[in-house]
Amino acid sequence: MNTRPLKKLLYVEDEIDIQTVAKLALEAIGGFTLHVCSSGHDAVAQAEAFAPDLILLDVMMPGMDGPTTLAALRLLPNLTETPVIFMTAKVQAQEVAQYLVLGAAGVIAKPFDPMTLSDKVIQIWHSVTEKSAA
Amino acid sequence: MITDVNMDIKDIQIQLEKMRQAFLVQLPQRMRMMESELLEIQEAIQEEKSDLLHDLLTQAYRSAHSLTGAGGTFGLQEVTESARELEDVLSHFMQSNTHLDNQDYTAILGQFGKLKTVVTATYESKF
Repeated sequence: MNTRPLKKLLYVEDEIDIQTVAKLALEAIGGFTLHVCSSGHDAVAQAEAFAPDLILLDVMMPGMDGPTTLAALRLLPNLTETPVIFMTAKVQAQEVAQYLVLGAAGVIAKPFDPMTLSDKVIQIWHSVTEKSAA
Repeated sequence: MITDVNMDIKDIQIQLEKMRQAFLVQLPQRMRMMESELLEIQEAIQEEKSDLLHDLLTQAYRSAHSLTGAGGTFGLQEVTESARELEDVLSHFMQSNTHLDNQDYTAILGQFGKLKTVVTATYESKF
């Protein structure tokens, strides 16, 4: 799938408070280059130009929810295989399994700990990289 | 907000605490907004405008969901748990697809009252 280092993250989240905390966590702690979109529509419109290495998608958003946004992103030529992580409070085993069936590389539970968010993203990125190398 | 990627952990923790304080300051306003959303639901029930109910319930659900997520992110676990219980009640009525009556509204209002108590206690303990 990819062997590049993880640098550019597209983060899609409608809640401003959570955006702000995640931005601090991913930029200042993780050192990532982050592009934030407040809706699925914005993500679909801006994702190709930003060309992310990985996408973080909130599941529950007004308008296009996370799964609908993922489906729309997959139709964009340069984003057919970009790893996507869902961020959601609904993390029971059955729900996580459903997200993986939809094509997510992993799931991060909300609310997240800002101090460890970047580590969780990196863990999932490594699992994707290892699978693609196998 | 512009994030400085060269911040050290202490600076980051200070920034997070500032964000948390800003969130806490907004809590009473959030609760007033949710209260007015619930009043709109009550009016729709009383005036038998059932066609409006799903949208109004969805709006209130999103507000509760927002509080659930943000509260937890800022370490306010009790707020998150109580807001999630309100989410569950609203979600039940959104999915039941039936006409709500005053008894249903009382159930929603009861859960909101519990949330308000938790939020008020949280707010007062911080200021």
